[in-house]
Amino acid sequence: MEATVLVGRRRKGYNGWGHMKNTCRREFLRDALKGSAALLSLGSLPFIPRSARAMGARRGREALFYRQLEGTTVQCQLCPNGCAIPEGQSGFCRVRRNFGGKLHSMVYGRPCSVDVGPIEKAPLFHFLPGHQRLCVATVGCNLRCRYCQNWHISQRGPGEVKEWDMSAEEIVHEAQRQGMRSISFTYSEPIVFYEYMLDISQAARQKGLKTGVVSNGYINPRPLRALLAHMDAVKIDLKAFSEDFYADVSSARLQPVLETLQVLKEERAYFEIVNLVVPTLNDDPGDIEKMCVWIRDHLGSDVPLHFSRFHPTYKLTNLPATPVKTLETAIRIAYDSGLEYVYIGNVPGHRHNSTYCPQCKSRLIHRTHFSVLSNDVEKGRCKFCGYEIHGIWEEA
Amino acid sequence: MKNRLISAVVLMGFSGLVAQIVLLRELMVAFHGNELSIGVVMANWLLLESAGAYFLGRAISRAKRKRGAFVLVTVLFTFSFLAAIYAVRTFKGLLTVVPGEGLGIVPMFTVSFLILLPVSLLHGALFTSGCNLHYIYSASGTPQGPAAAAGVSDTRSAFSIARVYIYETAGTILGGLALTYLLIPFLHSMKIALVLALLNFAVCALLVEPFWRPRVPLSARAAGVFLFGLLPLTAFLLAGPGADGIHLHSVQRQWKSHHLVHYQNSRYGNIVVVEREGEYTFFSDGLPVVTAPHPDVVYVEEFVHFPMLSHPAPREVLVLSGGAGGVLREILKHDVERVDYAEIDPLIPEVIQKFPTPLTEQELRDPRVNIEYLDGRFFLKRTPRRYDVILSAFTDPSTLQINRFFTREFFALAENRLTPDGILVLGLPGSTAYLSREMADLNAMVLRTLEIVFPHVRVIPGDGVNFYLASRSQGVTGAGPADMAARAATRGLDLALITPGYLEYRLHPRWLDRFLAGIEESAAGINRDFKPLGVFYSLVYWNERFSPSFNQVFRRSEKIGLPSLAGLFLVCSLLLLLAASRMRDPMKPALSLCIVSTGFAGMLFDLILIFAFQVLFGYIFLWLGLLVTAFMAGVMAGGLWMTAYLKKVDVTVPAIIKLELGLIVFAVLLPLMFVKAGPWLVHAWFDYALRAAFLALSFLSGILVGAEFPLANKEYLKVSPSLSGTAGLLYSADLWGGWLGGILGGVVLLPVLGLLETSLVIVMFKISSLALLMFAARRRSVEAAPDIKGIRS
Repeated sequence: MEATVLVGRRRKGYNGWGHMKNTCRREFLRDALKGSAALLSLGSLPFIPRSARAMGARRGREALFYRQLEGTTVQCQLCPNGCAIPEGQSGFCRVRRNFGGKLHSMVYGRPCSVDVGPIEKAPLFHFLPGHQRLCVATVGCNLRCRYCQNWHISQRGPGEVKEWDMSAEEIVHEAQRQGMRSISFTYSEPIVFYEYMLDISQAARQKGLKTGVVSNGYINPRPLRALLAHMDAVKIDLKAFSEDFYADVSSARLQPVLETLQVLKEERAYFEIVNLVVPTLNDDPGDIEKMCVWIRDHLGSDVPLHFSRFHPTYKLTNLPATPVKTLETAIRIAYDSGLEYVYIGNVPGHRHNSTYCPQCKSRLIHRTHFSVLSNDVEKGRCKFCGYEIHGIWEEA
Repeated sequence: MKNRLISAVVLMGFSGLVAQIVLLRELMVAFHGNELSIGVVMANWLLLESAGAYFLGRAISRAKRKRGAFVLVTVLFTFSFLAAIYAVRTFKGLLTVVPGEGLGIVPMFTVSFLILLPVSLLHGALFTSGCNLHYIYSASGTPQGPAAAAGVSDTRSAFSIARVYIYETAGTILGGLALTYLLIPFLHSMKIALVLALLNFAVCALLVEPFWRPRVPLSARAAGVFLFGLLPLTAFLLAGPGADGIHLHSVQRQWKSHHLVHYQNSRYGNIVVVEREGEYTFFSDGLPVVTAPHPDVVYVEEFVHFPMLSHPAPREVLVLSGGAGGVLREILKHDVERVDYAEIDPLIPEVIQKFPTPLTEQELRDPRVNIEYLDGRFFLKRTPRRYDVILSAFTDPSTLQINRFFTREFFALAENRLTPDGILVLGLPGSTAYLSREMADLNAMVLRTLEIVFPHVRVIPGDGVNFYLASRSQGVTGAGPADMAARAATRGLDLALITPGYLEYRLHPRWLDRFLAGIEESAAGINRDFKPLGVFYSLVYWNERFSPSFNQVFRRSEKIGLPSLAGLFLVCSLLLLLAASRMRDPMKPALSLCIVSTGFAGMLFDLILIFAFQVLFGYIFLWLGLLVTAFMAGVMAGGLWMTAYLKKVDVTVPAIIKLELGLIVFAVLLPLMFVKAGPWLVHAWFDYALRAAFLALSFLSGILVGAEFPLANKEYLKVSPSLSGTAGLLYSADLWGGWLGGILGGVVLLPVLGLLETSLVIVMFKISSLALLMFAARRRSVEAAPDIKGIRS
């Protein structure tokens, strides 16, 4: 598993100026060739876990999951980008930097965003509905989506925006102070602040708080498994069911995301999937059907799936908003494929903001947008017919 | 032949303006309709045209068959214009992988440069080549004044250049009028290009030697046959389905993967309607503005209900832009008596009604809704009504035009039109996750400007849009989530998004605290009509998305002040004088600098007048054509006046010095009158007088600008014998000045320095060129007096 991931694209060191670079297939092939050549010549070095220790605010802290290449160059093994990072440079994500042959997470303990919001905003609809959670984010992302909603932070590097010092313990303390029931890692891409997220999650669990991560799923299986030990709920953004879309719109690949979803299933993690439907780019009913069938066959029919409405954002400004009918078609396809919980997002007031019992079809959780108006799930079961509803529910 | 040549030159001016404006509008759709894109496209045009005049034009003038070369370049220009329209519509498919992706400043510059390259290069060459031809053919015609009769080449050359300059300007005026009133309202761009082709081919056919006569060289004969063949072909394309075919094909490629149901150009812009699964999206200049029947519920509900629920009993409501497609429906859910709705582009509500959906039908047919096909600010100024809520739906002051809805003067006007409890609401880009510096500047500027006018301003920071509710009454800040929820319940509103819990979440004080902390450090100033800082911050914010590294340049230019500019001009002038003192005759650089600074001043006068008109009267559309025409007519009159003067007098330097002084005085006086004029506009007589004054001022500034060109040419020819060299050089100097004025003036000078100080920049530039000119004149009178006499006799 690890090897197939590593043979993929190796990102060149990121120097802070090249983010306008467009990835094309030629570049991809070239990089893939270089990557395989490097692997053949060096062979795989065994992964050595390193004790994480504070390196002072400016250097962040030493990262997990990387290995030495020739000289002082290191290869980050956190995500499928597998950047080979020469000394003094950062990976594609802008936040993991090589200091004298050691990879550091520059954003450890340096959030740029700590605030409060409903869990429905994630969206995670089957995870203690209606509860408020503390949202934590740092700068950086390992993708380059043209329609990123949080580009102000995800497409920036350390030092480019206002950040402050906050230890994992302080985050947990803040969540408790505000009376939160869980902590969410969200907004930008939590994978790139992996070590920070891991430490906060451990500390949060100890204090009886739940944890959730909102991610693009672009992570290697090994760090993912290590993370899941401390994570209650996961939301994965499955952007499209086509490699072309991932390459063109997000500068990434689909396959690693599918692998992530399969690992989540294997590890019995609780997760939901969001698919933002962008008109003309990923709204092909055939692709949507393939995606739904794949979810049913590989992940199970009880995984909640959200189809979200696109509105022009960031660089994708010259497209129409998604027609509501397209979303309704997608819902129908998903139900027809046998999926049990399907939602329409970003269309407040639509009847598919709500949860319906797969068995007796009663409305179980009445929602409009982020607001939960009523909840008839009792101890994880449908109040009306007793059908077990997949999710994390109130125990009392 | 001379008359045919003159018609060719007039047509050249005509074609130049038509091509420039049509391509600018086409490029605006492909890019974003912001001030920067206009500046970049105009700048590229002027830059390329000046290169064409200087390099290509001189090369052509050296050709053996000059007339043939002129014809060839004209034909090539015509074809390249057609090809450029096609290229504008299709390049995105080649350049961006993702349809619908916007473009940053770098691709904007490169793409417009490459597309305009053949068109403006060839057009620039025509000027130089035209001067040369005019010189040749006026020699065989009647003698031109006493000096020409004496056979002095510099006078006759100067005369030719002046004539061509005047004819070309005349063509430009005709082009502007024809385009605004005849071509754009009735024809699409492809047809406009074909009309242009037909005219140009016809004139070219007149210019080549008749191919049926004997003793015509084979190549000329072939060219003639070719041209006469082109005529019916073009006419056939134009009259038959050919033009529409090309048009539809290219438009369809531009909007690939969309189902296009409507495409229309108006004087105001381009409107496209796309249909997809029953959803209509209305694009204005390439950006989606309305989606029906399913709008962005989050935006429309928050935008409408936050202010409506903050008001105890809203009855009279005004919507400035963005009303149809959700906003009106939400307003009508309240117990309102009257909703006035003014759209900046009157075509938008018209086109919306052509594609009825349940939502828009319900909105626009409601008897309480009163659509005003007027600019909102103009309407607000005239209306005797007072409103309980004014909703201004502009979310980004990215152009001078839209910025008028974010200035202190506009806020004061709105405040005056509100009832005592009345609320003005507007939105700006926002994010609850993180407030970037660019966003902070934009938001801080508007908040500070609002707070000057309104005693109570409530900010509701949001994800995507921050809302500002401004009022004279404390009630606007007093309404808490519970009060608003109670009002929603009492009024029986059926809402999709807003619930008591949602209000609790959105109006939680933590967002406001974070927002205020986020803008604390911003040094953003106040946005005023005559100092439209909003445009600048908006452009910086926009650019942040595409090329953040480029924002360093913006950050520096933000700090530009008059003292530093004065220092810069002083140092540059001293350096220039130093360099000049080492030259034997520094007249050449002095004259070139005069023309550059005059081109600069001319472009800025134009910009200032258009901008001031827009600010004072609240609208511009029809007057844009009139003001530009008055300016161009002034340029022509100035040229004619000086050409007549040239026939009598031979000493030009004192006249140039007088003109330079005139320009300086004009630049000082121009802004003063606008700044004081605003309050007087309530009187009808003053209104008319001021309009007349605007036309007069445009004309006058044109005279000052246009008069210098023939004089400078004459003087320049005394030291440089090459006609095409001189024509090319000074013509491109003029364009270079225009380029500087256009790009610096529109993007940095006017927004950052404001109207008054921008005028002072013109003054400083003019003083530098004047100083150099006087130095050159003085040196000449001291050292080289005998030489000049020698030439003169």
